[in-house]
Amino acid sequence: MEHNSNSREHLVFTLGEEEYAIDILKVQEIRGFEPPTRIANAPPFILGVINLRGAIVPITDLRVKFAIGEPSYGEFTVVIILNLAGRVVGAVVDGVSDVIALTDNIVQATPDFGAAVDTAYIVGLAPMDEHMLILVDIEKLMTGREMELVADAAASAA
Amino acid sequence: MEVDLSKFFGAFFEEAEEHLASFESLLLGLDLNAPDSEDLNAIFRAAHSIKGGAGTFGFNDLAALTHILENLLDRVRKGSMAITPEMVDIFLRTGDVLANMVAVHRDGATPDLAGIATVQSALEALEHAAGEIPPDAPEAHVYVATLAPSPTDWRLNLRLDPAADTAALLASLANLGAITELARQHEGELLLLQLAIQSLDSGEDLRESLAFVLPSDRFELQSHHPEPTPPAAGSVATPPSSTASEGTDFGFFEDSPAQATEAFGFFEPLPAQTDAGASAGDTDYGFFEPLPSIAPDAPAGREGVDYGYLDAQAVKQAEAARQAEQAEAQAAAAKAAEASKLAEAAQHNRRAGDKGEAATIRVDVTKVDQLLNFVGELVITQSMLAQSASGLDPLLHTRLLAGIDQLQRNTRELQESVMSIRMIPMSTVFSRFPRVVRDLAAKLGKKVELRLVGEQTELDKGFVEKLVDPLTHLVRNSLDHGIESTETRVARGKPETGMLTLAAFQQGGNVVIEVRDDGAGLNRERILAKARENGLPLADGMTDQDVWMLIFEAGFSTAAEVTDVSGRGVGMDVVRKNIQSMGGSVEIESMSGFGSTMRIRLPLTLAILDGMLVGSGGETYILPLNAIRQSLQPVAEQCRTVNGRGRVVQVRNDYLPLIALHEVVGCTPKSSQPTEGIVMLIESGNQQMALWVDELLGQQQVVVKNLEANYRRVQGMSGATILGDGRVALIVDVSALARKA
Repeated sequence: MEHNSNSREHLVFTLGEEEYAIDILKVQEIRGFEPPTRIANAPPFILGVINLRGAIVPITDLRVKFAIGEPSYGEFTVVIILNLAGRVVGAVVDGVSDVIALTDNIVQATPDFGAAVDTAYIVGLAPMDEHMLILVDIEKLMTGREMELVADAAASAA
Repeated sequence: MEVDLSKFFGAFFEEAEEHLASFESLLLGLDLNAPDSEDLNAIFRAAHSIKGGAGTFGFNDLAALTHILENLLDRVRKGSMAITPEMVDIFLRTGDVLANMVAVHRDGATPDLAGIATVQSALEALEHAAGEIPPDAPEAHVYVATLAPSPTDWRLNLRLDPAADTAALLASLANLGAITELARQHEGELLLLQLAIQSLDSGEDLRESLAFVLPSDRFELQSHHPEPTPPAAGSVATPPSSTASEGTDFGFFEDSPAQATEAFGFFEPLPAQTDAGASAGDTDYGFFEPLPSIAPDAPAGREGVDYGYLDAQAVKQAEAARQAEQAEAQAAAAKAAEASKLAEAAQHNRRAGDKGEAATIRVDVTKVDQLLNFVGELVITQSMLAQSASGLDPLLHTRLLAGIDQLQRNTRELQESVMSIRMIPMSTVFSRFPRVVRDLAAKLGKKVELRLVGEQTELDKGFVEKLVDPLTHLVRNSLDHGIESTETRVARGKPETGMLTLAAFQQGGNVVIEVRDDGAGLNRERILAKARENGLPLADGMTDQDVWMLIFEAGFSTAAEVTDVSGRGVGMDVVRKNIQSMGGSVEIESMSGFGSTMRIRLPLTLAILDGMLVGSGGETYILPLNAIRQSLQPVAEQCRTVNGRGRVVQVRNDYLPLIALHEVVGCTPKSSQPTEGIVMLIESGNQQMALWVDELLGQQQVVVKNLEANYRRVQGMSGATILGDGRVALIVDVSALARKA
């Protein structure tokens, strides 16, 4: 793996058929799925909260959020625990496949989909062998208003 | 009084340092081209809090300087003055000077008089540049006067080794001012040299310069008066030029440098003055002089002019003995300062490191939280072990089972003691207030009696620290705006002494702290008018409750003029902000003519909670045990509906609203009728209601964890906890249920 100044490591995970890449420095750990405690009146993609070594951590399901694939929860379901600006959040994905280094120059700008797809959280697209990786700014996504994970977002939604 | 308050000085110093640190970091992080108004507000609040605390504890020098600073910051924050890099520089320097002042008060460090003067004049220049003369900073001129003093005569007594290079020494001393040699004599091994120096520098500066060339026990500096002025009460009227040049007027900064200068002689007395006690009163060396000169009977308003010493003013001359003691202590402090100055001549502004370390340690709260988390995990592990061991044959595994029992006891004890680290009684907060109230009442000319209720209520340590500021604001507010003047009270047929009550108690899952006064109550019309003036959004027909909440909006103040008692409208929005940041809320109850109650409600975020585990739709929830009055399985006759929808339960003679927990949390209950489930009678505030759950699962002490750390506030839930099996259970917010009922 080559390290030059603008190469950063990314964690690749899958949602349905799509492959996504996020900055690995935001990832705290990867763990198996355990049923969370449901939170009343939370949106469907917030599955609930779990006990992560004494901390209460909310678990989101990105498959539900983006309506990709059929969410099923079994022993192979994976939760990526993210550490975003001091807050710990879990995200359920279909699978974690790889850690790769991406240089900025191979990342291409996201095409404009008009109103059909919200690309605000997508940094760009990158080719990887036969696949296409979707680079996501996970911090922007998770702390964004529509994830309803943060207090002021909730207040404005209420 | 002095003694009572001094135990809080440490807290104030620490707070002041924290405020100064955030003041500095905020200033440094400020984007000058587009300053964030939130940051400007925070900077302003830091200054404001220091001023408030300093005023409370009588550190008038701090209060005065911060006051000017605050005036400027207020203008910056309101946008009537643009912030420039130069201003940031001056503000930062002011921060340094304030830190120095704090060090002076705490450790008797050397006051940076030159720095104070520079900063003060710089701030004033800024204020004048803004085209406004500071209306309430008369004390400023005291400093300015020191900038152009006439040369003072000093007597310098040196004790030198005979081998010392006297000529070189004299040459270096000549830099300080005109030097005349008065006498030279040998005494034993030493050469005694008496010099006269005419210098523009203050005694403090001179001694500082001298400390670089000579050990402090080898020289002695006195101001030279042709005739020692006899101490006289009312000498405040002395022209400032004569006093200021010697630094007497600055007495406050180091419990009087002049005094320090002179008292210095006490410790290394000249042979003629070994009996310092006797000579103290009437010689130049007397450390009595500065104290009486402060004019014990000066009017209260004068302290701004003669700069401080509030407490000394209160001291009657009859207490001369006490003053002597005090003077001695101050002299000792001055001596200590000398010693430390010598040790760290280069960095004399550093505070002495060995001070302020009492039997307590200050530990980062996150460390305690971490400890608490580990203990929480230990508890879970322990209960897992106990669960797996419960299936074993007790006869075959006696020792294992005994060990598990022991582990359980140890774990519980450990948990309790870790918990108790964080819990401290409310009295630590309340006990500051008798003095605050007394001083404020005196200042405002009102008669107020303070009553403290529920001082033993335990509160999380983290809250206690954060509560002081808001509570001080509320108390000041009640005294200033709430309780009327004696005449008004008499005219209204009330007892002339106003009653201010500070009460703390636990209510359900909350700690409630109330500031009650029997004053005039809030004035609806005035609040509305003021809100309109400030452009706050107003709805027609607002309820009183909504109107009262307006006073918590930023920039709202009903006080017609800015006083140093209750600020300029930052108070209340800071109060609300601070309390919300703790996950709490503020409410106001007010009745015109009868008084008002400010109620702070804090959740037990990091407290232990005795909880009742209840099941609803297969999920587990926790109800605070202290809110539960009774649980029962109702019969069909007890359950009624109102309008076909609202349910009530009849318990004895009362119809209580029946809330279904499964409807609150949105799950499918196992029991289709209340008669199949359990109904808990719960109480919140003065409201009773019934809660329908599926089943009771048991009773357990739980560690309350807040959901906001990684998530956000969940409506209807006050927090979460981790159960014995490691799962998370949510804690029902009973007061939120009550609002729903």
